[in-house]
Amino acid sequence: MDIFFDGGLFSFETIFKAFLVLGSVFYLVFSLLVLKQVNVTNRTVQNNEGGTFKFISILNIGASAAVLLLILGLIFTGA
Amino acid sequence: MFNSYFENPSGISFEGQEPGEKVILFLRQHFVVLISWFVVVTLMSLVPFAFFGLVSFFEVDITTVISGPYWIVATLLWFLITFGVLFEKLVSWFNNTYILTNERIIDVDFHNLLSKKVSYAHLDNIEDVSQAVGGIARLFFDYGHVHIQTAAEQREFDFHSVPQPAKVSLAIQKEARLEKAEPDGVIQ
Repeated sequence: MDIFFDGGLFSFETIFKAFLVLGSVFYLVFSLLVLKQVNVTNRTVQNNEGGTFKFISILNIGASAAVLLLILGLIFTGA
Repeated sequence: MFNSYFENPSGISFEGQEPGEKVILFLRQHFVVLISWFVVVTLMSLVPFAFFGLVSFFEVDITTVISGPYWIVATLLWFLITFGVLFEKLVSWFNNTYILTNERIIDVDFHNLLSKKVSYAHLDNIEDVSQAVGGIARLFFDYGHVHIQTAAEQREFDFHSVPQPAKVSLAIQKEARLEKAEPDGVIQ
């Protein structure tokens, strides 16, 4: 168990951080795809509410980028 | 915003709409179909509270394994993913639409984030329209499936879980009758 808890390459902390980075990168890609889909839909069917979804999608991308930067910042500052 | 039944809507148009083509019905699945996802998302949003509650109850010091700020960003990421799941379901629900015009029926399907399918059938190709309402929720909230058989390239159209299926079915039949009575090439 030492290899998982003693701060090595396969330590629990490293794996946890790697999951955080991967999770936030995947989420950022996912949020970009959601925006893409919203744009495609807004072209396919035009109605009054399409803009709201686009606005929320952009906020979602901003939030996911912010979380990714926060995680990378924590890792690189050694917190 | 969360309506799923629009009769003669204003401000709604679609790609490929012909001049003079008028939207008569604009439908989405009944909002009730999203309830199961609201339950999933509610449970997902309770996970961090349950986790930290258990940690506190058993007096485990998790900061000895991972420092505090990482737990905070992990929780943030979890809530973001939870929101993402809900938002994606809302977007999918919002985007899957069924349109009846004075010329044709249109089924806009987004199966997932990467695939889109738009099917059309002219009203004079419609051969049969039937509707089915089954189950307590469907009876209670008055939603169900409308099945349309056509002589078009796509033989069958299904309007899934649409509100007021009887009314939808009648409206399609009425428009099909009117369209068949029109001379070819006329849009009225």
